[in-house]
Amino acid sequence: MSLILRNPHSVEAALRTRPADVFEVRLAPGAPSPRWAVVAELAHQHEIPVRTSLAAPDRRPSNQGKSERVGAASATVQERNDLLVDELFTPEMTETPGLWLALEQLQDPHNVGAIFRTSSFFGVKGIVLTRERSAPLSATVYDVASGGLEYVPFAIVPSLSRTILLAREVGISILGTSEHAERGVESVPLDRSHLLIFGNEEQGLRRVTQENCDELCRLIPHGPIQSLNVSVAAGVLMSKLTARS
Amino acid sequence: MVDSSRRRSSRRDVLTNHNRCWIWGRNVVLETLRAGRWPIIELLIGDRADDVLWDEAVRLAKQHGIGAIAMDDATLTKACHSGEHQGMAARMAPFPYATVEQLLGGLPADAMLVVLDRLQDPFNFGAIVRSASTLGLNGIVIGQKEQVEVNSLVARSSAGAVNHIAIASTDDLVQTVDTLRERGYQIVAASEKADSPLYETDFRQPTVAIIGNEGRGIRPELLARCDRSLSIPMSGAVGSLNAAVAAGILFYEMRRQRGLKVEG
Repeated sequence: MSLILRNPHSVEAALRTRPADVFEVRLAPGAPSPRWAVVAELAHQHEIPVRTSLAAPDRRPSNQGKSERVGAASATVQERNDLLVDELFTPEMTETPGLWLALEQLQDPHNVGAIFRTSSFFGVKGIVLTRERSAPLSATVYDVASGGLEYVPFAIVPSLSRTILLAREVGISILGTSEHAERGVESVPLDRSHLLIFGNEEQGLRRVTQENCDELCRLIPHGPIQSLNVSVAAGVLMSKLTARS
Repeated sequence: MVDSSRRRSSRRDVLTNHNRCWIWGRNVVLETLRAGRWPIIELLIGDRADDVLWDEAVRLAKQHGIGAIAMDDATLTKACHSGEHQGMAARMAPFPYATVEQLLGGLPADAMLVVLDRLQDPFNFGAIVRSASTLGLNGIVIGQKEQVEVNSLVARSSAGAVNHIAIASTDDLVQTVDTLRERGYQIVAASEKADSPLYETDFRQPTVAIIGNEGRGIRPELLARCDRSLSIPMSGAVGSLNAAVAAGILFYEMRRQRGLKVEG
Protein backbone atom coordinates (compact mmCIF):
# COMPACT_ATOMS: atom_id res chain seq x y z
CA MET A 1 0.00 0.00 0.00
CA SER A 2 1.23 3.50 -0.66
CA LEU A 3 1.06 6.42 1.76
CA ILE A 4 0.86 10.19 1.29
CA LEU A 5 3.60 11.70 3.47
CA ARG A 6 3.61 15.41 4.29
CA ASN A 7 6.65 15.80 6.51
CA PRO A 8 9.75 16.54 4.39
CA HIS A 9 11.94 14.74 6.95
CA SER A 10 10.02 11.47 6.58
CA VAL A 11 10.14 11.75 2.77
CA GLU A 12 13.86 12.54 2.82
CA ALA A 13 14.59 9.50 4.99
CA ALA A 14 12.66 7.26 2.57
CA LEU A 15 14.58 8.75 -0.38
CA ARG A 16 17.90 8.09 1.33
CA THR A 17 17.15 4.51 2.37
CA ARG A 18 14.85 3.10 -0.36
CA PRO A 19 14.41 5.54 -3.26
CA ALA A 20 12.74 2.87 -5.42
CA ASP A 21 9.72 3.03 -3.10
CA VAL A 22 9.13 6.76 -3.60
CA PHE A 23 6.73 7.20 -6.52
CA GLU A 24 6.18 10.91 -6.75
CA VAL A 25 6.97 14.18 -4.98
CA ARG A 26 4.51 17.08 -5.22
CA LEU A 27 5.63 20.57 -4.32
CA ALA A 28 3.46 23.53 -3.47
CA PRO A 29 3.47 26.47 -5.91
CA GLY A 30 6.23 28.99 -5.27
CA ALA A 31 9.69 28.41 -3.86
CA PRO A 32 9.89 25.23 -1.76
CA SER A 33 11.01 25.41 1.88
CA PRO A 34 14.69 24.45 2.41
CA ARG A 35 13.70 20.95 3.59
CA TRP A 36 11.48 20.31 0.57
CA ALA A 37 14.22 21.68 -1.71
CA VAL A 38 16.51 18.92 -0.38
CA VAL A 39 13.74 16.37 -1.04
CA ALA A 40 13.26 17.66 -4.61
CA GLU A 41 17.00 17.49 -5.29
CA LEU A 42 17.22 13.89 -4.04
CA ALA A 43 14.15 12.96 -6.09
CA HIS A 44 15.77 14.45 -9.22
CA GLN A 45 18.92 12.40 -8.62
CA HIS A 46 16.84 9.23 -8.47
CA GLU A 47 14.71 10.23 -11.47
CA ILE A 48 11.53 10.31 -9.42
CA PRO A 49 8.84 12.64 -10.81
CA VAL A 50 8.59 15.98 -9.03
CA ARG A 51 5.40 17.90 -9.79
CA THR A 52 4.35 21.34 -8.76
CA SER A 53 0.66 21.85 -8.35
CA LEU A 54 -0.67 24.88 -10.18
CA ALA A 55 -3.62 25.45 -7.92
CA ALA A 56 -3.11 28.12 -5.29
CA PRO A 57 -2.98 26.77 -1.74
CA ASP A 58 -6.26 26.86 0.13
CA ARG A 59 -6.32 30.03 2.21
CA ARG A 60 -9.89 29.89 3.39
CA PRO A 61 -10.20 30.98 7.00
CA SER A 62 -11.68 27.58 7.93
CA ASN A 63 -8.34 25.95 7.16
CA GLN A 64 -6.23 28.40 9.12
CA GLY A 65 -4.37 27.01 12.05
CA LYS A 66 -5.23 23.37 11.42
CA SER A 67 -1.89 22.43 10.00
CA GLU A 68 0.66 24.41 8.12
CA ARG A 69 1.17 21.39 5.90
CA VAL A 70 -2.43 21.05 4.68
CA GLY A 71 -2.57 21.70 0.95
CA ALA A 72 1.18 21.99 0.82
CA ALA A 73 3.83 19.60 -0.45
CA SER A 74 3.56 15.83 -0.18
CA ALA A 75 4.99 12.60 -1.56
CA THR A 76 3.62 9.18 -2.41
CA VAL A 77 5.72 6.49 -0.77
CA GLN A 78 5.33 2.74 -0.57
CA GLU A 79 4.99 1.36 2.98
CA ARG A 80 8.18 -0.07 4.37
CA ASN A 81 8.21 -3.88 4.66
CA ASP A 82 8.17 -5.35 8.12
CA LEU A 83 10.57 -8.17 9.04
CA LEU A 84 9.84 -11.52 10.60
CA VAL A 85 10.32 -11.30 14.34
CA ASP A 86 13.12 -13.92 14.06
CA GLU A 87 15.09 -11.53 11.87
CA LEU A 88 15.25 -9.02 14.73
CA PHE A 89 17.11 -11.47 16.94
CA THR A 90 19.66 -13.05 14.59
CA PRO A 91 23.23 -13.72 15.84
CA GLU A 92 24.49 -10.62 13.95
CA MET A 93 21.84 -8.44 15.57
CA THR A 94 22.52 -9.76 19.08
CA GLU A 95 26.32 -9.84 18.88
CA THR A 96 26.73 -6.64 20.87
CA PRO A 97 24.45 -5.62 23.76
CA GLY A 98 21.62 -3.33 22.80
CA LEU A 99 18.03 -2.35 23.32
CA TRP A 100 14.91 -3.72 21.62
CA LEU A 101 11.36 -2.44 22.16
CA ALA A 102 7.97 -4.12 22.06
CA LEU A 103 4.74 -2.11 21.87
CA GLU A 104 1.67 -3.99 23.02
CA GLN A 105 -1.62 -2.53 21.77
CA LEU A 106 -0.45 1.07 21.65
CA GLN A 107 -3.35 2.94 20.12
CA ASP A 108 -2.27 6.51 19.53
CA PRO A 109 -0.41 7.01 16.23
CA HIS A 110 1.39 10.03 17.74
CA ASN A 111 2.85 7.80 20.45
CA VAL A 112 3.92 5.10 18.00
CA GLY A 113 5.49 7.67 15.65
CA ALA A 114 7.28 9.49 18.47
CA ILE A 115 8.67 6.19 19.80
CA PHE A 116 10.08 5.34 16.36
CA ARG A 117 11.68 8.78 16.13
CA THR A 118 13.29 8.47 19.56
CA SER A 119 14.37 4.87 18.82
CA SER A 120 16.30 6.02 15.79
CA PHE A 121 18.04 8.69 17.89
CA PHE A 122 19.06 6.20 20.58
CA GLY A 123 19.98 3.39 18.18
CA VAL A 124 17.31 0.88 19.21
CA LYS A 125 17.97 -2.39 17.35
CA GLY A 126 14.40 -3.36 16.57
CA ILE A 127 10.74 -2.75 17.46
CA VAL A 128 8.06 -5.43 17.73
CA LEU A 129 4.46 -4.23 17.38
CA THR A 130 1.28 -6.19 18.05
CA ARG A 131 -1.24 -6.31 15.24
CA GLU A 132 -4.62 -6.29 17.00
CA ARG A 133 -6.03 -3.24 18.76
CA SER A 134 -2.94 -1.24 17.85
CA ALA A 135 -2.44 1.89 15.80
CA PRO A 136 -1.68 0.80 12.21
CA LEU A 137 1.52 2.20 10.66
CA SER A 138 -0.29 4.98 8.84
CA ALA A 139 1.05 8.09 7.13
CA THR A 140 0.57 9.93 10.45
CA VAL A 141 2.95 7.50 12.17
CA TYR A 142 5.56 7.94 9.41
CA ASP A 143 5.28 11.73 9.56
CA VAL A 144 5.41 11.95 13.36
CA ALA A 145 8.42 9.58 13.31
CA SER A 146 10.14 12.16 11.10
CA GLY A 147 12.26 9.50 9.37
CA GLY A 148 12.51 7.13 12.34
CA LEU A 149 10.49 4.46 10.56
CA GLU A 150 13.16 4.11 7.89
CA TYR A 151 16.05 3.48 10.23
CA VAL A 152 14.67 1.12 12.88
CA PRO A 153 13.76 -2.42 11.73
CA PHE A 154 10.38 -3.63 12.93
CA ALA A 155 8.16 -6.71 12.99
CA ILE A 156 4.41 -7.02 13.46
CA VAL A 157 3.17 -9.99 15.48
CA PRO A 158 -0.18 -11.36 16.71
CA SER A 159 1.00 -11.45 20.32
CA LEU A 160 4.27 -10.98 22.20
CA SER A 161 4.59 -14.49 23.65
CA ARG A 162 6.84 -15.85 20.89
CA THR A 163 8.86 -12.61 20.76
CA ILE A 164 9.60 -12.96 24.46
CA LEU A 165 10.70 -16.59 23.99
CA LEU A 166 12.96 -15.72 21.06
CA ALA A 167 14.55 -12.80 22.88
CA ARG A 168 15.12 -14.81 26.04
CA GLU A 169 16.75 -17.65 24.05
CA VAL A 170 19.46 -15.27 22.83
CA GLY A 171 20.09 -13.90 26.31
CA ILE A 172 18.08 -10.68 26.20
CA SER A 173 16.44 -9.77 29.51
CA ILE A 174 12.71 -9.03 29.32
CA LEU A 175 11.89 -5.75 31.00
CA GLY A 176 8.24 -4.74 31.32
CA THR A 177 7.15 -1.24 32.20
CA SER A 178 4.41 -0.71 34.74
CA GLU A 179 3.32 2.16 36.93
CA HIS A 180 2.86 -0.37 39.70
CA ALA A 181 6.42 -1.71 39.56
CA GLU A 182 8.61 -1.11 42.60
CA ARG A 183 11.92 -1.04 40.80
CA GLY A 184 13.17 2.22 39.30
CA VAL A 185 15.04 2.23 36.01
CA GLU A 186 18.13 3.66 37.71
CA SER A 187 18.84 0.25 39.27
CA VAL A 188 18.51 -1.76 36.04
CA PRO A 189 21.96 -3.13 35.07
CA LEU A 190 23.33 -1.77 31.79
CA ASP A 191 25.79 -4.56 30.99
CA ARG A 192 23.25 -6.67 29.11
CA SER A 193 20.66 -6.47 26.35
CA HIS A 194 17.05 -5.62 27.15
CA LEU A 195 13.70 -6.03 25.47
CA LEU A 196 11.68 -3.16 26.90
CA ILE A 197 7.91 -3.64 26.68
CA PHE A 198 5.28 -0.88 26.76
CA GLY A 199 1.56 -1.53 27.15
CA ASN A 200 -1.60 0.23 26.06
CA GLU A 201 -2.00 3.91 27.05
CA GLU A 202 -4.94 3.19 29.39
CA GLN A 203 -4.60 -0.40 30.53
CA GLY A 204 -0.85 -0.94 30.50
CA LEU A 205 0.62 -4.37 29.83
CA ARG A 206 -1.66 -7.39 29.55
CA ARG A 207 -1.41 -9.62 32.59
CA VAL A 208 -0.04 -12.58 30.66
CA THR A 209 2.72 -10.35 29.26
CA GLN A 210 3.56 -8.96 32.70
CA GLU A 211 3.90 -12.49 34.03
CA ASN A 212 6.26 -13.33 31.18
CA CYS A 213 8.66 -10.49 31.97
CA ASP A 214 11.88 -11.10 33.88
CA GLU A 215 11.39 -7.81 35.66
CA LEU A 216 9.08 -4.80 35.78
CA CYS A 217 10.35 -1.28 36.16
CA ARG A 218 9.13 2.30 36.23
CA LEU A 219 10.77 5.68 36.09
CA ILE A 220 10.09 6.92 39.58
CA PRO A 221 10.36 4.26 42.27
CA HIS A 222 7.86 4.33 45.15
CA GLY A 223 6.25 7.49 43.80
CA PRO A 224 2.55 8.16 43.50
CA ILE A 225 0.73 6.40 40.69
CA GLN A 226 0.77 9.12 38.13
CA SER A 227 2.48 8.94 34.87
CA LEU A 228 4.11 10.44 31.86
CA ASN A 229 2.82 10.15 28.34
CA VAL A 230 4.01 6.76 27.05
CA SER A 231 6.18 8.26 24.30
CA VAL A 232 7.87 10.58 26.82
CA ALA A 233 8.36 7.73 29.32
CA ALA A 234 9.76 5.60 26.48
CA GLY A 235 12.18 8.42 25.61
CA VAL A 236 13.48 8.72 29.17
CA LEU A 237 13.84 4.94 29.52
CA MET A 238 15.68 4.69 26.19
CA SER A 239 18.04 7.48 27.24
CA LYS A 240 18.78 5.57 30.45
CA LEU A 241 19.13 2.08 28.96
CA THR A 242 21.38 3.11 26.08
CA ALA A 243 23.72 5.18 28.26
CA ARG A 244 26.58 2.65 28.17
CA SER A 245 30.01 4.10 28.59
CA MET B 1 -25.72 43.48 10.85
CA VAL B 2 -25.82 42.24 14.38
CA ASP B 3 -23.52 44.02 16.75
CA SER B 4 -21.48 41.06 17.89
CA SER B 5 -20.00 42.71 20.95
CA ARG B 6 -23.46 43.52 22.29
CA ARG B 7 -24.84 40.15 21.39
CA ARG B 8 -22.08 38.47 23.36
CA SER B 9 -22.24 40.72 26.35
CA SER B 10 -25.07 38.76 27.90
CA ARG B 11 -23.08 35.54 27.84
CA ARG B 12 -20.05 34.44 29.77
CA ASP B 13 -16.72 34.45 28.00
CA VAL B 14 -15.68 31.05 26.76
CA LEU B 15 -12.36 29.46 25.90
CA THR B 16 -11.53 30.48 22.28
CA ASN B 17 -14.80 30.17 20.38
CA HIS B 18 -18.20 28.62 20.74
CA ASN B 19 -17.21 25.36 18.99
CA ARG B 20 -13.83 24.83 20.60
CA CYS B 21 -14.57 25.65 24.22
CA TRP B 22 -15.18 22.03 25.21
CA ILE B 23 -13.04 19.59 27.07
CA TRP B 24 -14.10 15.95 27.01
CA GLY B 25 -13.14 12.57 28.40
CA ARG B 26 -13.74 11.12 31.84
CA ASN B 27 -10.32 11.78 33.35
CA VAL B 28 -9.76 15.29 32.07
CA VAL B 29 -13.22 16.51 33.05
CA LEU B 30 -13.08 14.93 36.51
CA GLU B 31 -9.57 16.22 37.18
CA THR B 32 -10.72 19.71 36.20
CA LEU B 33 -13.76 19.47 38.48
CA ARG B 34 -11.72 18.15 41.38
CA ALA B 35 -9.03 20.82 41.06
CA GLY B 36 -11.64 23.59 40.87
CA ARG B 37 -9.19 26.03 39.29
CA TRP B 38 -10.31 26.34 35.66
CA PRO B 39 -13.91 27.67 35.66
CA ILE B 40 -16.48 25.35 34.07
CA ILE B 41 -19.57 26.92 32.54
CA GLU B 42 -21.61 23.76 32.23
CA LEU B 43 -21.12 20.06 32.65
CA LEU B 44 -22.69 17.47 30.35
CA ILE B 45 -22.97 13.86 31.45
CA GLY B 46 -23.92 11.08 29.04
CA ASP B 47 -25.35 7.57 29.52
CA ARG B 48 -21.93 5.99 29.23
CA ALA B 49 -20.54 7.55 32.43
CA ASP B 50 -20.56 4.95 35.22
CA ASP B 51 -22.59 5.50 38.39
CA VAL B 52 -19.75 6.19 40.80
CA LEU B 53 -18.18 8.82 38.53
CA TRP B 54 -21.61 10.26 37.76
CA ASP B 55 -22.26 10.79 41.48
CA GLU B 56 -18.86 12.35 42.06
CA ALA B 57 -19.22 14.68 39.06
CA VAL B 58 -22.69 15.85 40.11
CA ARG B 59 -21.59 16.38 43.72
CA LEU B 60 -18.56 18.43 42.65
CA ALA B 61 -20.63 20.44 40.17
CA LYS B 62 -23.14 21.30 42.90
CA GLN B 63 -20.34 22.29 45.25
CA HIS B 64 -18.88 24.69 42.66
CA GLY B 65 -22.29 25.97 41.48
CA ILE B 66 -21.95 24.49 37.99
CA GLY B 67 -25.02 23.41 36.06
CA ALA B 68 -24.91 19.69 35.19
CA ILE B 69 -27.06 18.35 32.37
CA ALA B 70 -27.72 14.66 31.75
CA MET B 71 -28.20 13.55 28.15
CA ASP B 72 -27.80 10.56 25.88
CA ASP B 73 -24.42 9.85 24.33
CA ALA B 74 -25.36 10.93 20.80
CA THR B 75 -26.48 14.38 21.97
CA LEU B 76 -23.29 14.70 23.99
CA THR B 77 -21.19 13.80 20.93
CA LYS B 78 -22.93 16.53 18.98
CA ALA B 79 -22.47 19.11 21.73
CA CYS B 80 -18.73 18.61 22.28
CA HIS B 81 -17.90 17.67 18.65
CA SER B 82 -16.09 14.50 19.65
CA GLY B 83 -17.11 10.88 20.02
CA GLU B 84 -14.29 10.27 22.50
CA HIS B 85 -16.05 11.86 25.47
CA GLN B 86 -16.49 8.68 27.54
CA GLY B 87 -19.73 10.16 28.84
CA MET B 88 -18.39 13.48 30.10
CA ALA B 89 -17.78 16.91 28.61
CA ALA B 90 -17.55 20.44 29.98
CA ARG B 91 -17.90 23.87 28.42
CA MET B 92 -14.98 25.95 29.62
CA ALA B 93 -14.35 29.57 30.48
CA PRO B 94 -10.97 31.04 29.41
CA PHE B 95 -7.99 29.32 31.05
CA PRO B 96 -6.91 31.10 34.26
CA TYR B 97 -3.26 31.87 33.50
CA ALA B 98 -1.16 33.22 36.33
CA THR B 99 0.93 36.34 35.80
CA VAL B 100 4.71 35.92 36.05
CA GLU B 101 4.66 37.89 39.34
CA GLN B 102 2.06 35.55 40.81
CA LEU B 103 4.06 32.53 39.74
CA LEU B 104 7.35 33.85 41.13
CA GLY B 105 5.69 34.91 44.35
CA GLY B 106 4.93 31.39 45.47
CA LEU B 107 8.11 29.54 44.58
CA PRO B 108 10.54 27.66 46.83
CA ALA B 109 14.18 28.81 46.86
CA ASP B 110 15.40 25.98 44.62
CA ALA B 111 12.58 26.10 42.09
CA MET B 112 12.62 24.45 38.66
CA LEU B 113 10.73 26.23 35.89
CA VAL B 114 10.23 25.71 32.19
CA VAL B 115 9.83 28.47 29.59
CA LEU B 116 8.23 27.53 26.28
CA ASP B 117 9.27 29.62 23.31
CA ARG B 118 6.61 29.54 20.56
CA LEU B 119 5.60 25.91 20.90
CA GLN B 120 3.02 25.17 18.21
CA ASP B 121 1.87 21.59 18.54
CA PRO B 122 -0.87 21.05 21.15
CA PHE B 123 0.24 17.43 21.66
CA ASN B 124 3.76 18.59 22.52
CA PHE B 125 2.48 21.32 24.83
CA GLY B 126 0.12 18.88 26.60
CA ALA B 127 2.80 16.23 27.00
CA ILE B 128 5.25 18.83 28.38
CA VAL B 129 2.65 20.05 30.91
CA ARG B 130 2.09 16.45 31.95
CA SER B 131 5.82 15.70 32.32
CA ALA B 132 6.51 18.95 34.19
CA SER B 133 3.69 18.24 36.62
CA THR B 134 4.57 14.56 37.13
CA LEU B 135 8.27 15.27 37.64
CA GLY B 136 7.60 18.01 40.16
CA LEU B 137 8.59 21.18 38.31
CA ASN B 138 7.20 24.33 39.89
CA GLY B 139 5.74 26.18 36.94
CA ILE B 140 5.54 26.86 33.22
CA VAL B 141 5.84 30.22 31.47
CA ILE B 142 4.56 30.74 27.93
CA GLY B 143 4.55 33.73 25.62
CA GLN B 144 1.51 35.16 23.90
CA LYS B 145 2.68 35.26 20.30
CA GLU B 146 2.98 32.20 18.03
CA GLN B 147 2.37 29.98 21.05
CA VAL B 148 -0.43 27.42 21.23
CA GLU B 149 -2.67 28.27 24.18
CA VAL B 150 -4.15 25.91 26.73
CA ASN B 151 -7.06 24.54 24.67
CA SER B 152 -9.11 21.35 24.46
CA LEU B 153 -6.33 19.35 22.81
CA VAL B 154 -3.69 20.56 25.25
CA ALA B 155 -5.92 19.76 28.23
CA ARG B 156 -6.53 16.32 26.78
CA SER B 157 -2.96 15.42 25.97
CA SER B 158 -1.85 16.71 29.38
CA ALA B 159 -4.22 14.10 30.91
CA GLY B 160 -5.66 16.85 33.08
CA ALA B 161 -2.26 18.07 34.35
CA VAL B 162 -3.09 21.64 33.23
CA ASN B 163 -4.99 21.74 36.54
CA HIS B 164 -2.04 20.82 38.69
CA ILE B 165 0.87 23.01 37.70
CA ALA B 166 1.00 26.82 37.57
CA ILE B 167 1.01 28.13 33.99
CA ALA B 168 1.89 31.81 33.54
CA SER B 169 1.45 33.77 30.34
CA THR B 170 3.43 36.88 29.46
CA ASP B 171 3.70 39.25 26.50
CA ASP B 172 7.46 39.54 26.97
CA LEU B 173 9.35 36.28 27.45
CA VAL B 174 12.74 37.95 27.06
CA GLN B 175 11.99 40.33 29.93
CA THR B 176 10.76 37.38 32.01
CA VAL B 177 13.98 35.47 31.42
CA ASP B 178 15.97 38.58 32.39
CA THR B 179 13.97 38.83 35.61
CA LEU B 180 14.66 35.17 36.37
CA ARG B 181 18.38 35.64 35.72
CA GLU B 182 18.46 38.61 38.10
CA ARG B 183 16.88 36.44 40.75
CA GLY B 184 19.70 33.94 40.46
CA TYR B 185 18.21 31.26 38.25
CA GLN B 186 20.49 29.21 36.03
CA ILE B 187 19.04 29.36 32.49
CA VAL B 188 19.53 26.29 30.30
CA ALA B 189 18.42 25.63 26.73
CA ALA B 190 17.40 22.36 25.18
CA SER B 191 18.92 22.95 21.79
CA GLU B 192 20.35 21.08 18.82
CA LYS B 193 23.36 23.39 18.78
CA ALA B 194 24.49 22.37 22.22
CA ASP B 195 27.73 22.80 24.12
CA SER B 196 27.19 21.02 27.47
CA PRO B 197 26.32 17.36 27.95
CA LEU B 198 23.09 16.99 29.93
CA TYR B 199 24.53 14.58 32.48
CA GLU B 200 27.40 16.89 33.43
CA THR B 201 25.15 19.81 34.33
CA ASP B 202 24.32 20.60 37.95
CA PHE B 203 20.57 21.08 38.34
CA ARG B 204 20.46 21.35 42.12
CA GLN B 205 20.46 25.13 41.91
CA PRO B 206 17.31 27.06 40.88
CA THR B 207 16.94 26.34 37.17
CA VAL B 208 14.89 27.51 34.21
CA ALA B 209 14.80 25.24 31.15
CA ILE B 210 13.85 26.80 27.81
CA ILE B 211 12.20 24.61 25.16
CA GLY B 212 11.98 26.10 21.66
CA ASN B 213 9.71 25.90 18.66
CA GLU B 214 9.50 22.49 16.95
CA GLY B 215 11.01 23.68 13.68
CA ARG B 216 12.97 26.84 14.41
CA GLY B 217 14.23 26.18 17.93
CA ILE B 218 14.79 28.90 20.50
CA ARG B 219 14.84 32.49 19.24
CA PRO B 220 18.32 34.11 19.32
CA GLU B 221 17.48 36.76 21.97
CA LEU B 222 16.55 33.99 24.40
CA LEU B 223 19.40 31.68 23.44
CA ALA B 224 21.83 34.55 24.13
CA ARG B 225 20.55 34.69 27.70
CA CYS B 226 21.18 31.00 28.41
CA ASP B 227 24.07 29.96 30.63
CA ARG B 228 24.40 26.75 28.64
CA SER B 229 22.84 24.71 25.84
CA LEU B 230 22.34 21.11 26.75
CA SER B 231 22.88 18.15 24.48
CA ILE B 232 21.27 14.79 25.00
CA PRO B 233 23.83 12.09 24.17
CA MET B 234 22.80 10.31 20.98
CA SER B 235 23.58 6.63 20.59
CA GLY B 236 21.96 6.01 17.22
CA ALA B 237 23.22 6.97 13.78
CA VAL B 238 20.54 9.40 12.64
CA GLY B 239 17.63 11.35 13.98
CA SER B 240 16.53 14.04 16.36
CA LEU B 241 14.19 14.17 19.32
CA ASN B 242 10.66 15.49 19.42
CA ALA B 243 10.32 18.59 21.67
CA ALA B 244 8.17 16.78 24.24
CA VAL B 245 10.54 13.80 24.47
CA ALA B 246 13.61 16.04 24.80
CA ALA B 247 11.81 18.03 27.51
CA GLY B 248 10.87 14.81 29.33
CA ILE B 249 14.50 13.59 29.36
CA LEU B 250 15.68 16.99 30.62
CA PHE B 251 13.01 17.26 33.36
CA TYR B 252 13.73 13.71 34.49
CA GLU B 253 17.44 14.52 34.92
CA MET B 254 16.59 17.72 36.82
CA ARG B 255 14.35 15.71 39.12
CA ARG B 256 16.81 12.82 39.46
CA GLN B 257 19.58 15.08 40.73
CA ARG B 258 17.29 16.32 43.50
CA GLY B 259 16.13 12.81 44.39
CA LEU B 260 13.40 10.97 42.59
CA LYS B 261 10.81 11.33 45.30
CA VAL B 262 7.92 13.41 43.97
CA GLU B 263 5.13 14.66 46.20
CA GLY B 264 1.85 13.37 44.89
